[in-house]
Amino acid sequence: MHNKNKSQHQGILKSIFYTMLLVLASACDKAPKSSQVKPETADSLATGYFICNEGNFQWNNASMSFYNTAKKVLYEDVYKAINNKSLGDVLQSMVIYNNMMYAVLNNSGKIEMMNPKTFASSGTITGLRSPRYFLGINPNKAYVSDLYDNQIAVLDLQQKKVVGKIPCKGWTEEMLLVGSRVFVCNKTSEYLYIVNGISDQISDSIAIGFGSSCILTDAQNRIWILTSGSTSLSIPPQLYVINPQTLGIISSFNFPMLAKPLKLITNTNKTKLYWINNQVYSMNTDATQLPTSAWINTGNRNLYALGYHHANAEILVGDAKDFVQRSEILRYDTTGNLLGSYSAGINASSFLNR
Amino acid sequence: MLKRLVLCVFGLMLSGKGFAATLLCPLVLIQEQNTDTTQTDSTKILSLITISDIRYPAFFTGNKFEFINTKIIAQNNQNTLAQLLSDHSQLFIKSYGPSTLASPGFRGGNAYHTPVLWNGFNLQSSMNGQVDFSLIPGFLMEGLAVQYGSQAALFGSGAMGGTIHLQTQAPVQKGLKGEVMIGTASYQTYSSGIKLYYRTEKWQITQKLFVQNSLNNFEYKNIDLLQKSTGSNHINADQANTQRAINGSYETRAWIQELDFTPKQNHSLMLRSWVQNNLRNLPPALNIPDTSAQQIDKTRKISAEYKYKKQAYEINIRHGFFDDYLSYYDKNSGLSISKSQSNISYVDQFYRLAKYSFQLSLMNQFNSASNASYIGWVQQNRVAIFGSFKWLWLNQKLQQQISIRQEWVLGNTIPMMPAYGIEYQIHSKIKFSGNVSRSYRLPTFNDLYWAVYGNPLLLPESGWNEEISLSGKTAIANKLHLQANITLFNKNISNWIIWVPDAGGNVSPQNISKVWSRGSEAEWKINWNIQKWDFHAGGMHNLTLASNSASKSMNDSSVNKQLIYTPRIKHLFELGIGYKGFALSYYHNYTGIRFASTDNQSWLLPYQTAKICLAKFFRLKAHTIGFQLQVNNLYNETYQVMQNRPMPLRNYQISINYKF
Repeated sequence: MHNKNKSQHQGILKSIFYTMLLVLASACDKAPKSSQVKPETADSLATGYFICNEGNFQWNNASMSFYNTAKKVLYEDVYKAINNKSLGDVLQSMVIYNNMMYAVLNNSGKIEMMNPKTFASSGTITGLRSPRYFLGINPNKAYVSDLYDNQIAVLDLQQKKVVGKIPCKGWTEEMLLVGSRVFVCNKTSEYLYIVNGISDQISDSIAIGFGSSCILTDAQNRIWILTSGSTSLSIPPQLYVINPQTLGIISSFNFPMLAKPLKLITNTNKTKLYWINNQVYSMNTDATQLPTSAWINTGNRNLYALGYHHANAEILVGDAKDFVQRSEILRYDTTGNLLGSYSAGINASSFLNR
Repeated sequence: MLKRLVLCVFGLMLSGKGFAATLLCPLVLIQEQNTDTTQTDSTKILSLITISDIRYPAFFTGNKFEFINTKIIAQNNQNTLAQLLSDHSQLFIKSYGPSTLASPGFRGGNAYHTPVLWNGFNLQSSMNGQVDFSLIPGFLMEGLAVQYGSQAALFGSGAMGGTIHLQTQAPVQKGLKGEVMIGTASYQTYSSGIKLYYRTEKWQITQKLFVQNSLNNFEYKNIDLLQKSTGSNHINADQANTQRAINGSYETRAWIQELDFTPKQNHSLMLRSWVQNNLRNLPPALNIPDTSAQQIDKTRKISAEYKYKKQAYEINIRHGFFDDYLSYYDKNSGLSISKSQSNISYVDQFYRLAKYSFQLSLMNQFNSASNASYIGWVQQNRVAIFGSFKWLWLNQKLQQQISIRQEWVLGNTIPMMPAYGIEYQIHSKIKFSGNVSRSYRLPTFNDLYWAVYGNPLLLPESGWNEEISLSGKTAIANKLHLQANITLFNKNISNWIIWVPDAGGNVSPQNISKVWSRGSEAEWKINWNIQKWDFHAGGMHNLTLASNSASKSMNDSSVNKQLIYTPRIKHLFELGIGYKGFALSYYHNYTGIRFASTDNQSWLLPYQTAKICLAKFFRLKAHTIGFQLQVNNLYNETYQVMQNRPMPLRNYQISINYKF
């Protein structure tokens, strides 16, 4: 009996031993391997375009990628690779102005400045509430639109700080400078606002549907504006064409009520427009009606970025997938043939030509 | 005696923040030790007057079920369920920082798949399907139990990953019993609590209050811990600046009352209420400007229950009313207010014979909620009938059970939920358990009715769960006690709801994912008593693989990858020594990689935290005074459970308890 008990105990001790052995075998969780293609010389960032990867809200994982078109190499998170710190939270937009790169970090409430050739940090502009887009007015001055602030911030680019605010109710978005006039899109308003770039005051406004977001000029120097519309006000998304001198509306195009057009861009000579509305659409600037079918059908994707690479005449399309994984960048030629694809950072949202 | 009671309660209510300081007199308590409830047999038939908050305990055949030791609960008298379960159970708690949102992950499921039951009523919000574990003070609970795996047949929607049972249970002794706790912790945290129990032949009255205030300006290192496949991040926390959290202060006020009336041996009536207000300022994530975010949670929970027992037959009729209010404000998004109410009724009937037991229950649940993003108040009615049959064979060595549930939601029939469980005592010291069950989760109100984005056509998630366990325990010369358990589980859930971009560009919830979770859980425990010394050691170890096999879009790189914020590995170790009223415990927690992107291309490295707890008890007849010192994050580890949400560096807690 005693022996039997002893053997039972041994059996249990053995099973505890094996359990612990199993545990030790699974003890440590191995990290996947990391490898980075680091930009080693300024040459790495000489030819190609930048990809703006928004990242996730509050995750501090925004990044900037650079695709070297000559080497066909992608450099990821270049800011961090060079400056050894992360860029910030939600990279809304980026711009090169007067030989300086400005990266607008929406949820960090800041703009990171860097040398566009080496990516070395050249300062940070803070004190912004929820910045969206940067517009250089002159080498000393820039405007920054804002989601929540109900004001456009005025920056002194030499002092690298906010020096003034221009009240503008609602969510101000993309801006365009024509002469001394600044045209300001507003996502929560029925108006396009015009700010005097010298006096920093709103001088006028133009009623245009509801919720303007994108603005650009065409080859004839006309202004094109994309609006998102409002289902509650029964205003569809629209495309407007405006004369920047007279401020008169030249023409407008209505999208279907439930359409979600976004990311309006042009080709190099500004004769062709492209945008995303679930798929990629294209239209000549002299067209009299909106295209009825997609220019490129990419299949079941979540298109979130659109760009035009001028040097190689490529249309770049970003697929954000589920917003929580790396985006896929699809490259098309001007006739809509797929040239290739690669993966960039999380939530690629725009491209910037070198 | 009544006067004492009233004075104590009144004093506690008045004192608020200063309470801990002003009452720092030798009033203290430590929970009664060595109530090793882990040995409680889940098949034990409870007598009528021992009122347990665990429902249907006789019908958990084949399910892994564990009580958290009362000693552990006492050690966490200043902590919430979030810290308690993170350090002492196999749950992974997704913590956004101290006193900020903490939601559980369990066997590859998430907060939606982990019901929290109070008196058998599910506390998961009808709006978001979650319970915030950082809102439940450990002090208020007399016990806590963790049920692993699915129990959808008994507990309904959401019981897919595991179920947490909160226990509030008065002592059985007659007369006045009670407990007073005052404590303080790092970052100007002050806690005080009182529990008073008064029992006569027919009546039992319980009053419990808990008050906590904290500046919560915890210290952390400002460091980016995210790792990416496209760039290694050299982490050197020593070089990072130490900062203090801003806008983190919070206050908690909680009051639980219980009244039991047992006029005759076979009738009893119970009333329960739980009122709690939390005001929390929410610190911003790292390197994000402060927006003065503030959240107020107010909850009113009331339940009434009648029990009648005659020989083998028992009936329980119970009703719960739950009223929750949540307001959130930050400078950017403004104020938003959510309100929800639930009325839940059960009629449970039991029939117990020596070899057979039956259970048959009816449930009606009416939920309503309002929020600026809904159109008016939204409502939902659920009706369910469920029953179990258990039989014992082979001299009670073999137990088997079948259960089945049929539920209707707003008149729609939910598929039938069957379950089968088996337990076999292979040997006097070794038991085999197994369980197969079907489970489901109903979409939340947010999933269904959120303006524009909600999807009213969503189907419930639907799953099959299987598990097998082998457990053994033995004692050598009645001095060395050994226990070990190993469990393998498998779970397949289809129609898993996730918010994804749809063809119109809106992000809306859809029944897309197919999630396969599988893994193993091992546990062991050694107790060794030698003269006046008491040593114990233990460990919990789990491996959880959870992946989604359905593609959400073209070239979806998340297919068959580990789900985000689902660690594959978690280990807990525990060591303790007791000698003449002194107790020294050491706890170690290792949590593996948490992926932060669905393609597993970015992640947070594993972290290890440890804590020690030193306690000394003085016992004088029926009185116990205890002093307790706890050091959390002993090794000063810089870690983030969730990306960009810093966790505090080393910090301290002390408390004094008096129990009579």
